[in-house]
Amino acid sequence: MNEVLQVKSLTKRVKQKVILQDVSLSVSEGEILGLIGPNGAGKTTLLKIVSGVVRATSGSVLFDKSAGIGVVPEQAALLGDMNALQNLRMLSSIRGKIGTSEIKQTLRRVGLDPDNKTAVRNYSLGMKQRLMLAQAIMERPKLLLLDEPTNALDPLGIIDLRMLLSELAQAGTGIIIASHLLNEIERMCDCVAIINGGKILRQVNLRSTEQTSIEVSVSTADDWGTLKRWAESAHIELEKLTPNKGLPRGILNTKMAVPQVIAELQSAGVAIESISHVGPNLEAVFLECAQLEGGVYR
Amino acid sequence: MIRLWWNETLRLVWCKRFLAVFPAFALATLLALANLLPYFRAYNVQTNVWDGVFGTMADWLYFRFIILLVFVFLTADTLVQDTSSNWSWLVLPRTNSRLRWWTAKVLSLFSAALIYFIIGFLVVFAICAMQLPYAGNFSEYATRGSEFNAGVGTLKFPAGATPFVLSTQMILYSAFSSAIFMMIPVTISIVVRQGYVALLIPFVWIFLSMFWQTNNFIFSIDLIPRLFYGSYFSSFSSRVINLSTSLIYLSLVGIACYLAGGYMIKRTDF
Repeated sequence: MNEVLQVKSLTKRVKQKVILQDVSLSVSEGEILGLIGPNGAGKTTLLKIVSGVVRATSGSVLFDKSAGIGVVPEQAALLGDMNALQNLRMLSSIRGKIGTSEIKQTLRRVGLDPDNKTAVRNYSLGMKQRLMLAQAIMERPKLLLLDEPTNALDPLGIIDLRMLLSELAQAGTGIIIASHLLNEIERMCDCVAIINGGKILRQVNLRSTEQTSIEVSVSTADDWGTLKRWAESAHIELEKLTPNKGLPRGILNTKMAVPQVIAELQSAGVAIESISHVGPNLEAVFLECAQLEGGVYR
Repeated sequence: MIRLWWNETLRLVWCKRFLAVFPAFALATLLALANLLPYFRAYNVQTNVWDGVFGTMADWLYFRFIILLVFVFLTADTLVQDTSSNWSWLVLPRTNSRLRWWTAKVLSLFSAALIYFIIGFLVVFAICAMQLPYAGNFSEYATRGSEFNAGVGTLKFPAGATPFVLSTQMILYSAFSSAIFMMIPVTISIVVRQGYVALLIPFVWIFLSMFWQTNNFIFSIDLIPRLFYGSYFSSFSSRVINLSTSLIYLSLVGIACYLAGGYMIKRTDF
């Protein structure tokens, strides 16, 4: 797939302080990339550099400017004395690419009434967030940047957002979401970059088809021994987890499908209590990164 | 570019606080009329609506401390607001050029000032028309004011001027000079991103100029605000400043601010 964004060796320093250090990443058409990290990690600065609001000290950001870029800042940036339609008209008038009908259509798409004459200052936080989303997608940009988009959204709003982003990605839009919420990132994104101290510590592909993680619980310690020997002989990585209700359990990182693993373990004589596909454990990866960085999250 | 300019102008004038234009000009008019009407009665001189209009808009005190101060309040923090509210984050990626954005911002100061003074003029005219009779030319008071010892509010008119031409000139000149004046704090606010600083600079300047006036030093602190209240239109004309030199001076200040702002805006983070 074509890349809609390429960030190469991006560094940002403010006086002596390093905000971003040698950050490289790319986003393909239809890909949703999650940026996770603690406050002050550099997520917002990275989004601001990509959108051209902050200048990088060194490095490059490559994307098709003519295709446009949509941005949803963390805090709603709206003109309080105007209504939703007037706000979007103001912003769309800069490029002049779309008319009122497209704006109204976008407002309906995010669940807002285009005929609502209420001034935006009287909107709830959730409505403001929906409006911010509308302004970002109304011109159909090829690249969408969202900074904490689920802030202020109610559960229904979060579900709507997830569906909308999925639709946009299917239509070929490359999306970057910066968030603290691991759960939401795990659900929405194809791939995640963990960022802290201005550095990307690790990138995890959440939709990898090359290798899957399978959690297995077995009945006894003997079964665990048999499982371990089977894994060694099959050259499969086995991570031991803390027992659940006294049952030994672990994660198998393998290319095999779950039914195949069940068949192999049964023929090896392992008594399986439970087995399931778990995918990459984002929380575990995140905590591992935290420990590598000196436990900053603890 | 034109769309961006229109956008920035709307941002300045299409908000609740811009409604302050009405009470500001109404207050200045009422104060000016309260000052002028006793003169008219005392000398039993023929007056008309233009005496009220020019008596308000060309009065240095009301211009400086009401009309100009309200304009400062309406426009000084335009750039600071954009950055603090993240609005610039929505606009800049759409413009693809910081210099275009800065140019539109500067031009919007001029268009907002023009709208401000046109509305203000209409407010002043409407209130004065309720107190003084309408006429198509200058009154006896305006043309022969010195004979009645009416020092306050009398005007020195250019040869051949009519009230309509003079009103147009006054609106254009006031809008131009006020916009140039506001370019100074707006340019500084690119670097000093504090709303109160942007407001404080013109406020302090205006108040200091009240106590620190000099007529023959071109860089005196009161030069720019003094030009606003219209030395050209007022009987208190300066010895060194006339309309053409003041326009050149203001243009140079405007160009300097625009270039300095353009240089800084390319190198700053929002």
